[in-house]
Amino acid sequence: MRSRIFIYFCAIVLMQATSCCRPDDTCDDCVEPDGDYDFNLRPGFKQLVGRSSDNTPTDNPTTKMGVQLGRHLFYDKRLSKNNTIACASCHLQEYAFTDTARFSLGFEGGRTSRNSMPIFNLRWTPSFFWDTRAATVEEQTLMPIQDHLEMGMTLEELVEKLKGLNEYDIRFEKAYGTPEITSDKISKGLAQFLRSIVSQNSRYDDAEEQGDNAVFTDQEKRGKKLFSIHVDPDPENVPGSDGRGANCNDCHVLSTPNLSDYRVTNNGLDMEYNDPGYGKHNSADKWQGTFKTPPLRNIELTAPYMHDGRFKTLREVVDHYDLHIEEHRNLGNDLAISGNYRYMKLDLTDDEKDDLIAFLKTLTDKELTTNPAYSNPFDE
Amino acid sequence: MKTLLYPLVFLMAFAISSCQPDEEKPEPIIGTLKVNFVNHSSGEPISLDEMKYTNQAGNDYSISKLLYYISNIKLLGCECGEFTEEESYHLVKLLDDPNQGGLVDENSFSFNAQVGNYKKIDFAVGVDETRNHSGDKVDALDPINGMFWGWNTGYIFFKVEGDFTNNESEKKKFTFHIGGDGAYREISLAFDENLEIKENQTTELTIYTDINEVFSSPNLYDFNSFKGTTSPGENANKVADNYSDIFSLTKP
Repeated sequence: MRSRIFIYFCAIVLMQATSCCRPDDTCDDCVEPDGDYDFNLRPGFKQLVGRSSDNTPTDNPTTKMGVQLGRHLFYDKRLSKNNTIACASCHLQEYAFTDTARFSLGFEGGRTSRNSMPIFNLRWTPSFFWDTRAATVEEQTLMPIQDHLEMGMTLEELVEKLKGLNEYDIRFEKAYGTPEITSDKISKGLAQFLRSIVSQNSRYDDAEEQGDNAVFTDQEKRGKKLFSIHVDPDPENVPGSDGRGANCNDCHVLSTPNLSDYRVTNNGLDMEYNDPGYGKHNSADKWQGTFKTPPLRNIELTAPYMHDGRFKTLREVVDHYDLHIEEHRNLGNDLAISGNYRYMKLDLTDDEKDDLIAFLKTLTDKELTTNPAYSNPFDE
Repeated sequence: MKTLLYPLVFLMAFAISSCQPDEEKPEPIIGTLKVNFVNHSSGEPISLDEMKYTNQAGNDYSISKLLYYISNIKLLGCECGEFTEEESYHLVKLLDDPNQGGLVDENSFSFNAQVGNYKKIDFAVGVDETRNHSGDKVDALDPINGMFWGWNTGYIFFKVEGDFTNNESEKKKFTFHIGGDGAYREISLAFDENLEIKENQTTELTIYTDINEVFSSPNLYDFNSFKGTTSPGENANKVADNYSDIFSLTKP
């Protein structure tokens, strides 16, 4: 009997002792029932979690139920005035969450003034829209809903409408613990779903992990080299370049999540701009005709190209940077630099352009376009 | 019954012992060093986009963007020994960035250092060869800062861009993107008076960076004939040679 008591005593001490070693977050009682969304990130993305470029705010962590709420909102046409347009209408999964139109269709048949931007890796994106007018994912989400061309709602109308749709109070309660519907919670839910959309499964990503030689064809490797190098006709200045380069990496920086440093710049499309871009929000002359550098990831899927969708093919885009850059007064320094060489002409050969485009196609992530987690929940 | 007892007692001992904190090692006594960089052009403070500077070749110019890596900081000459900052990569930034709501002027950083009296500070402009080609690309070394070339060349170590007035009185752009392993430069500055790091206190150190000197000596640049470089290689290495006298501990 005595030994049995001693065993009980030992067992209790043991439980106590081991429990004090456990980090708090493994305690079953303190984890919320649904928990954090599992991003399942590859190493290149995992290293960025919680670092300076991660825009997840402390007051809106990405949770499983928050993402589910946001996913329903994203695909729900009832978020527009006349139940015709959802976020997903202009951001289609099969096209890397953009659409194929030059200007997207609004709820009353009107057209937007700029090309629909793709959606992925927003968690590491510093600003939103072509003109950077939204600083956070949360702020961005409510702007198309309230746009008089796009979805045509006021926030009051939106909240009232969702209150009348009986399934949403349950989703809000699951996501936030209370069924009350507010525009802040709508924006947070949408932002969580948008942050959950990660594109990290292209052949380019494989090459980032395994090395170019293990993944790329010779043509793709040639394309990547051209992509990286800023042209300098004197090969001595850039050892190994043979005097060839296409200057892409100056703005579309390799090893960033979306191959963009998002700088706001003029890329020499025209001498005069009808659309001032960021210049609409900042009257300084240096910003007139400037736009945010867009993502290059999934570029094969996101035609047409540029803020106004003027180019239908990647070849047209490459031709622009090769031969047709206009010397706008605000042209980006990287595009304007001539050094000791010919002004703004790359003079790429047809073969070099094919190589470049072959590399650009390694940025296509088919997993993004087929992942059921990002698909329309109303189809399930 | 006894057979059950032994493993339990053993487990208990193990469980209790594993809960105890690691044996305490003597911690070095530390204070904080805050390093401020003051960018100027021959004594004139840098304000963006103002055509008010003149280089030694006589070109009037403005600066629209200035970024450079300060890395591998060491404090030397202390009886307490040499202090080396861990993971020592800092990006000094002066630019106008709509993504960050306008003017970005990040010109100081702080780190903990061992308490003592130091005679000299060593640091580098750029990213050392090892880190230039491997390791986590985060924070100051995140390529999203627009200071990364990819392919096999690594980081841009020093970037200055702006406008200048050419010989035909037209406004043109100059663009100096300096990087590549051959452009990594080590700098050493001796203090007139010892730099004292005090326990639990912050000591400030100001380093003045003369951007005009980048264009001056030993290699003199006239923007009319050399508007800069955006590649690693010989041109970049020559510009980097000019860093030798751009930093100073005394106010210009």
